[in-house]
Amino acid sequence: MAKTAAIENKIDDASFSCKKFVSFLIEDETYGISVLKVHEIIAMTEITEVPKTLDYIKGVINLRGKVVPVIDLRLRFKMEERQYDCYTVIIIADTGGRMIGMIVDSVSDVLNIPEEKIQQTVHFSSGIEPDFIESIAYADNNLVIILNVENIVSIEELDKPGNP
Amino acid sequence: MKIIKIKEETFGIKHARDFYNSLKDELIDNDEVVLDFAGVKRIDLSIAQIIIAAGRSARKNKKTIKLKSVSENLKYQMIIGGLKL
Amino acid sequence: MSEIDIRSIFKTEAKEIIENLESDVVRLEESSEDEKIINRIFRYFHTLKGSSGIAGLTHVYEFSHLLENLLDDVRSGHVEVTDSLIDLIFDSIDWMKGAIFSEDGTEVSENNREKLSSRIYAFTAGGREVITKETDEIKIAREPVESGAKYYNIKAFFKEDIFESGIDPLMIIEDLMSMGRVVSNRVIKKKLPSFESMDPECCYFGWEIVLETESAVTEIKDVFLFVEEENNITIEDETSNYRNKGSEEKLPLEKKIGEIMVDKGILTDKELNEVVTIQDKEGDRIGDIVVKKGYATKDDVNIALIEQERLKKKIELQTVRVDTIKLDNLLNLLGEIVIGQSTLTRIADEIDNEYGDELKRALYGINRTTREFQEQIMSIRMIPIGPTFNQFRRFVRDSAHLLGKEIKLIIEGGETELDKTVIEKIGDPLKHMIRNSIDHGIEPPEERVAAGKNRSGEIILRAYHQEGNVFIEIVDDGRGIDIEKVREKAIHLKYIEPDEEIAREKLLSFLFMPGFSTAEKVGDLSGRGVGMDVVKTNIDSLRGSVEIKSEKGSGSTVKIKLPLTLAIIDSMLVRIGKNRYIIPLLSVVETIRPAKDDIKTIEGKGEVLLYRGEFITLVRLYDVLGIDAEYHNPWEALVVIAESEDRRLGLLIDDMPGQQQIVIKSLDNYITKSRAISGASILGDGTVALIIDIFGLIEELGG
Repeated sequence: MAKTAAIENKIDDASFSCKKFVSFLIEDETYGISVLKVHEIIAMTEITEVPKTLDYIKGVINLRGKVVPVIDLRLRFKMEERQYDCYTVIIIADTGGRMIGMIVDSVSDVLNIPEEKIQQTVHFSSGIEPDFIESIAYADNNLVIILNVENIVSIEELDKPGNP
Repeated sequence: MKIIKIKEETFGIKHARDFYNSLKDELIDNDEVVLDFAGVKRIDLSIAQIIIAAGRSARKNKKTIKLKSVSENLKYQMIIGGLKL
Repeated sequence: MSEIDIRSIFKTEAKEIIENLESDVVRLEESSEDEKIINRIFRYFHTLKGSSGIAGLTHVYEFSHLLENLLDDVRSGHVEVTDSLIDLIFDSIDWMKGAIFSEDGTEVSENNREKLSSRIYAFTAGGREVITKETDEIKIAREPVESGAKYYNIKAFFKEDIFESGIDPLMIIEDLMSMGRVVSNRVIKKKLPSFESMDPECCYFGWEIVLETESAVTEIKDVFLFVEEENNITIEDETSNYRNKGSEEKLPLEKKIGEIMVDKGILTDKELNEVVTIQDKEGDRIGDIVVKKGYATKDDVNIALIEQERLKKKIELQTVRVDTIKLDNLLNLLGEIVIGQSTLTRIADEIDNEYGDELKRALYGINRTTREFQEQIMSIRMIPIGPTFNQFRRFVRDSAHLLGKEIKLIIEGGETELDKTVIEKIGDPLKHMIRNSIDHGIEPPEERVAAGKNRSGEIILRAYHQEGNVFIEIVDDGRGIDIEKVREKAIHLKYIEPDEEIAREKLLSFLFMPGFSTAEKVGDLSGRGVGMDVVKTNIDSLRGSVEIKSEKGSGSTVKIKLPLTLAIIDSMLVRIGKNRYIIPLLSVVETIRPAKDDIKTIEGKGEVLLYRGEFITLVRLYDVLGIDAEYHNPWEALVVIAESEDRRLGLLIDDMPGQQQIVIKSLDNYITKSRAISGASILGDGTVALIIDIFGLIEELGG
């Protein structure tokens, strides 16, 4: 009976003071993105390369008739590139109408994390740029790095000079 | 300025030629001609035509024709006849 | 329809009207006697009055009513067109803009409106009751249609000597009008000769009256009892035109009966001209004259009349206002269909039997229909540039006044049609460049006179079609650009070496570099100024290009090239290694496999290809795009001869899988900094291919 109560409790949490995150893995680290920022998750697909672009922009894909740019999060985080495999997925993030694909090693779960387990102030050192991190959370005894999607996808517009 | 006083109660085709001639003369001599309709109750189409044609000619020569003391009834007739008041 | 809907429809309509209005008022300032312009301005205010009333903007309604009256006085010659009148009209338009377009319509100053109103009264007052004026039209407010009431269109033309019989037409018309409510009354005065040559005892006038009445047609005929015989009286029941139409105005007859008869082959043009001349003289009905002349039978005339009636009804139903978003959606859907078709065609190609052929034939039919469908949608999206040009009339006038300059704006090719998206986005860049011409191009009058020019400067806005593109030019006859100053600046900014030989066009193109013209005082360049780089970016995003030509002392020309449509183009698919790219078919001259001997390397020019007697640059696309190719020897590969403007290039490719229509998808600016890539498209198999822009490629290669 105690177990049932625990589950009920969890459901309550979910509807009142929890936040939902899509969690995924890069290397051995677990990252999370607010589900509100995730448009959908698709399997790896054919990417059309684009010339003269930033190293972490892998190219563009066809998302049901829309041409969407795709970045490799490993490269964005200045990590080693890794061969794509059957677990590799593209998370399509939607921030204020701008769609962008993010390649990650694999998606693990959708997490309900109670707000009190999310630390807004970050005193945390990791390999990636502090601007990309929004907060740190603990879920299922795991540390989850919650990412600031806006900062990750906000890419400076490339100059198209009038003359070389 | 010249004021032409019209005395006829019913001012129409019978007076048209005289009216036309005197108006023509006055428009040669004066820059401004005032038609006083004080006693007039009706006009007919011939009069309306003369006033309109005279008005056009006056404007062309930078002269003015003014209408004075036009009764409400008369005004209605003039409007139907194509004058604007 | 909700009130909000009506408001927003009104706003759209008002915006158009006000743009036209402003440009016509500027025209009026230039030719103050032009009755057509005055009439148009009058009608704009009249329309604004009507629709603002419906939209519930009472203050706008009342104000436009005042302006309508003012313009009516101008029309009748009572009020003269003076500078202060033009200023008053412009000030009034400004007030109306505020009242109509500000978020909260009540924001606009009531005080201001009163001031303007009293200025308007100052023009119209005084003379109103005493000076003779004439009118053709008496407008009486319309009320809802009463059931049972009929609408008659009555035309009455009297014989010239009618006064002799003691009949006063005015009295007949008065009687007629007393029978019901007068919807409209036109007094036809065209036969009235000049005052000096008129016969005061002759009848010249006729009437065209629309009457709403419960009376039967026979009762109306009775009014004309004494005159019906020898005069030209017609009574037509037009009730059907007035019913169920709410507050809409009656539509004018779009097609005259004579024209219909010509269309139907009943009359020749020559006969029609003759008949119309007779009609002008005698005032008979066209149909009657035609029959009298023996050009057609009464039956023919009746057929034409039925046709006329039918057209009248059709015209009422033919125009629909469509939200442009719906149009965009339609185009997007069509784009998806085109992609789907490509997929099907690819599948059909893979079916290697008779079913494959049958499928291909069926697809061919669908392709044709889709293409036509697309052309239709495109034609809806195409709108003339004229209104966009015209809205600058006021801008030029006001700016010129402010700077104490005299500038005439000349518009050419206003009927040139462009995609609506282009039109929407071209306004700002145009304004920028026109402002440059006004601020820095055109000199003050004294300076112009001293230079032996006309006091008044000229700015020409010109649009035309050429080779599947639209060109827009902004030409001024001002002081032009000092090329030496540009050179100094370019050296200063280290774009070029101090003693570098550089072509004039190339130097001028530096003006589009960010910060080039704004880094120092704009006047230093004695010509172009603020933010030309922004202009270029805007035009680039429309897949267009821009260039400047200028002679010191005699003016500048900015030439903008824009694509006809933005959405769907014919293209050639090319393969390089495992990548596929799209080249717009308009840029492709032909595809060849060159002979080994035709390839040369020329010092300073790099690799060239002898093509039809001239050496053209050979571009190894795989190098430019940074990819692997199958062939590296041009004589093994294929070369696409492409051109942009006057320049030709040979592009090395592996293969050319086919031609197809593609839907252009734009790429965000951050995706690539290559100017050679202008967008992307989705191919039949669902992959994305990049579009190679030849003009951009040439620029990327260094001019």
